[in-house]
Amino acid sequence: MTVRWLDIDHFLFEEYKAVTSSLGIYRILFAAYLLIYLPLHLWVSTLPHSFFNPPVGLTLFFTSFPGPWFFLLFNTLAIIAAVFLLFGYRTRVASISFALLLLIGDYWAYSFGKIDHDIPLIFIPLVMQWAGWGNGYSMDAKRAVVGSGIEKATAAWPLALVAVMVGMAMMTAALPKASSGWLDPHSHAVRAHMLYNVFVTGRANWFAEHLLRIKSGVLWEFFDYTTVAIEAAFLVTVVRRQAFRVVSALACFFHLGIALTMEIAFVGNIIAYAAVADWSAFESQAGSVLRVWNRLLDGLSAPRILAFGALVAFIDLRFGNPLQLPQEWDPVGVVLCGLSAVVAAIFLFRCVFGWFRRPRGAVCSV
Amino acid sequence: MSRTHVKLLFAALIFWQILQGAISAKFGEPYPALLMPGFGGTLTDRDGNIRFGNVKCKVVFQDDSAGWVSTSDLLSEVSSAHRSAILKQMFSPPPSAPELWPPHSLKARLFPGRALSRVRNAQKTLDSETKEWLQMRIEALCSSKRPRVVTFIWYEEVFNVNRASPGIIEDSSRIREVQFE
Repeated sequence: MTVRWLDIDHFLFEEYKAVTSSLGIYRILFAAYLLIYLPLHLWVSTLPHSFFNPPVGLTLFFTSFPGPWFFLLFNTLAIIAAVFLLFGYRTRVASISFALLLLIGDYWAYSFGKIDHDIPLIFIPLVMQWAGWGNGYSMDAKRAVVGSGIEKATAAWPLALVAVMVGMAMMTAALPKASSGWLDPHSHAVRAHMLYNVFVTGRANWFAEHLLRIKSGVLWEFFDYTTVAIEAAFLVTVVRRQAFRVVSALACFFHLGIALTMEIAFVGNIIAYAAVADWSAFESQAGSVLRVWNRLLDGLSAPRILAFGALVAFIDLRFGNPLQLPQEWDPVGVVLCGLSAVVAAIFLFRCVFGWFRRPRGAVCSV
Repeated sequence: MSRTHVKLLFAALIFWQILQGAISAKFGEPYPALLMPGFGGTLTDRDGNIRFGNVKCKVVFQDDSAGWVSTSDLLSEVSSAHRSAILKQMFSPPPSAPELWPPHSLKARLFPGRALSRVRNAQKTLDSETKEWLQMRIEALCSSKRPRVVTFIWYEEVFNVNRASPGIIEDSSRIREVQFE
């Protein structure tokens, strides 16, 4: 059977089909990252209310920041929701709650005149709860099997929606560049923005210093063109999952480069790209780890998860998250960008290898 | 969710993206928005020089000694991505023609946060809350020495690949002086 290039129904309901285990593993990875990422925005209440400068959004209706208690409560609830998500307990409620909590917390943190672009961390749980990411390696799955004896199904369209959202968001980064001189062969925009980042934002490091010593216009122009091309390619390839995965894999190298030279680790984006990967490949590689995980789930109950969430929240808020290193830059983010580049390299290698071995309809997983 | 609802959801997303573009163009970046950082522009002039604005902070203490405080240190409690925005909003010279909303206008009543932030950005003398915070930060960074005058000097850095060090263009009108008792 041949599939037309733009068959809307096929794209929405078939192209991004995923198995339950893949989505379950992705949910665990996502929640584990959240537990590294939290707590957030505790610094907001240390600043004077006079700094309040809200964007177009909910905080326009307020005149100052909430007190420290608000950020303690927000983080406590967000950490508990992330723990629920990790173990897949009441996954749908936990996903929506986490997304709304992060949205509310971010509203205040972005009321200083600058918005960070971690929006994937909000839309992923909102959309993925429809995909059935709570139906694999979760307490919900165990309860469903015990209750009805059958596993719940997954839906493909939420993954297609995530891909479209990523594509649209990345296009909003590509268009201003393409229309403001990045494609002019005489301007080296990446170099200029790196200089700005070093001298104004104050993110100077060994990588930036050495890269800025390079005077080759060809190299700098290559960076300008590839940046625009990769950012635009997401939306162009969105109708083909495999092509979208290849672009996502290439973008992992792009993000590693940004993390190393500009100290901006776009882990939220990498997490979004990971949604379309086939994580079921992990089952054959690390089946014993997943068997241990399943045994762990057998021994869990709602009060135990709640107590664990509360304990994590207490430790994070009282002593600080031990996984958040007190650095000006984000070492954990850089490591995650590095890891994503390794996974991307393996994926691309398999693609190329598979393409040579199976010239008709090459298939590569992860 | 039925197939029709799914299709409507995708259509709504496309509509939202168009609406979001219009809001961004008219009122500035909204939140939440399906946007990634644009890094628009090349910061490069016709002669190939890379130009951008920067700020430094000079402090004259009560004992008449003077020193420099890094703006990164001054705002070290804040995530580095937000520092430039705060410095521009609070410590840049006030605009010569501020776009203030009349205090009793509908806009000002509906969106008091935005109205207030415009007033603060336009204020010629810094409000007491910001001054108090600035004094506290300077004292924390400079061994409890009390500041008399803090001056934020806004300047332009000019880079050229053929020159070893950047050129600096200062403009005496681009300063903000904060006086303490």
